Amino acid sequence: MRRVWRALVVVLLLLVACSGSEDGLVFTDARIGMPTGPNAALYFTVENHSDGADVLEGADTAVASAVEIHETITDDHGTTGMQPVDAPLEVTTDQSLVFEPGGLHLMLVEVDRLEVGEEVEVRLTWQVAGEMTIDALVVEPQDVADDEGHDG
Amino acid sequence: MEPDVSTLRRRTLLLILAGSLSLASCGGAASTEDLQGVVLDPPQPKPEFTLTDTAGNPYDFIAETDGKLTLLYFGYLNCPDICPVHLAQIAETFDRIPDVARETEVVFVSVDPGRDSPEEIRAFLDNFDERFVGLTGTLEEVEAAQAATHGVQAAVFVGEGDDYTVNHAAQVIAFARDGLSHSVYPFGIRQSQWENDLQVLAELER
Repeated sequence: MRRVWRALVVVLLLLVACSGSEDGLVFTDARIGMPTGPNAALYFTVENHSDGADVLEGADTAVASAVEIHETITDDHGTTGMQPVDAPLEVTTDQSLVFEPGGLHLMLVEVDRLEVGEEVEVRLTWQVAGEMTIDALVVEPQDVADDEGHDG
Repeated sequence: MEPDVSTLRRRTLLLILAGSLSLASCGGAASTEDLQGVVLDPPQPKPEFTLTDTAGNPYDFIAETDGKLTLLYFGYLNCPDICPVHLAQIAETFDRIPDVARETEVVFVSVDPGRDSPEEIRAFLDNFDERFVGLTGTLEEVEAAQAATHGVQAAVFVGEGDDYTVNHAAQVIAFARDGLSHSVYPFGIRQSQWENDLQVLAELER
């Protein structure tokens, strides 16, 4: 019986620990492909663990003259285009929004020279959560894609 | 009706025979069946075009790449999302299989000659591999090169002033030593698939 109680306490502690660390908007995998031209792309995943939906309104960083929300769209002919996302980017409760190569990205316009391994502070402005700062790691251009996660 | 024992035995023998035949075909020259990219059936010929390389010299695509494994890609420098990933994956593959890399020509054509200077194209490609060939020309010339390439539609410019984006073909087109394109590589191809396919293409019989 004592063992059961002990197990219960451990489970409860774990639950408290998890909910404590994952409140609100949680950002993972923030990364920037080392710039190879005037612009660079920032990718990340955001999970919404708060009670309500939130909307990404904009972003900025000291290393670029502007940050734009873009989406790459590829049509049936294999032609790809990059376009600004004008519609509000909403992430609802318990959902996630994934910025990844070939899809959504934050484009860093006229970006500074960045070295692999460097961490870049980027400020994201959310409708509800307000301003949140994330640290994005600069990686080799081929490492922005999850190598085994894409089906050719 | 249940098959009798002799039918079963015959089927087993046939299976073994088929198995050894397919093994035999694998043991020989590489086959397009081993490709993991998007296979073209029938294979497509090389496009005819002459553009200017980053040193200012004319580059006749068919003559310069004759007998070489060749990867052709149309892109532009302001492209932050797909273009660098494609080129970086190829460069990484080159590092892993240097023997194949030595015999492979990578040709990048800027579809945005109004914005991409030869010097900028060179600097861009040097981020990946100094052996990559960069080509440019007049807008008409690069549009003609795209139109001549099977499966590629000429890039479209969207937006005004300096702040425009370019809709362009996202696939890398591979040509084997026989001068034909047996496969193309849309965005999303894995590093391991590049590695496999470059080796297969290098060994395709002429």
